[in-house]
Amino acid sequence: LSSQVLYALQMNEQERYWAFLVQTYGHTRYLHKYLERCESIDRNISMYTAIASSASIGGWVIWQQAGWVWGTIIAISQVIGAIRKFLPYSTQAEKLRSLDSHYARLLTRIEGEWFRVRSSLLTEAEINDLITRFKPEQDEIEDATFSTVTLPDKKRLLTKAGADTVNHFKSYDG
Amino acid sequence: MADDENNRPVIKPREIRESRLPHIDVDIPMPPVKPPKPPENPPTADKGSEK
Repeated sequence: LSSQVLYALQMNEQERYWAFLVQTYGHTRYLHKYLERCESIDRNISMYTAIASSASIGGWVIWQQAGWVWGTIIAISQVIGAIRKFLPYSTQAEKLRSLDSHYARLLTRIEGEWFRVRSSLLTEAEINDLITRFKPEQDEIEDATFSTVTLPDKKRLLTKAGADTVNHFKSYDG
Repeated sequence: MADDENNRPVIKPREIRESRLPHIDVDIPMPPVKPPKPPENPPTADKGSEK
């Protein structure tokens, strides 16, 4: 009876570790996609301001009859350039870059330990110890980021991260 | 810290904080796992005693 109880408990811990691994993978994909989004927006703003200011000056010289149009474009690009530092994308990208790499390293370690978990080389207590060792590290990484930046939930990115996670683990044999 | 009776480590409570990131809503079943290793001190079963 005691070995059956141990088996049931061990299965629980293995399933719990599996759920933890799946969530960590999903979060890593979500963060990566969030980072790509922020970098893309930040890059587009940079491109717009650079192109708008230089092209408008050129256009103003060539087609002088619509000076107010060129002037407006230049003014807008100047305003965007000035407030760019205060837009969230640049800060979010900066923080996410660090969080993304920390999360990826943590995921590698969690995924690495999965082999020992699925091979039943660890007892339930040891699996539990693994989770309680990894989780505070995850909390610490998140605290370091979210104490200085907020990350509004993006459903579209969550859906994409979920799809990536399903694809990753579809043919997963550990 | 160990359980005196079984000499096995005491399981820590499962009070784990949720991630600050949103939950990834996927349902991926766990792949088959190998049978667990036998307990260190299995109960001694007297196979030949039952008739």
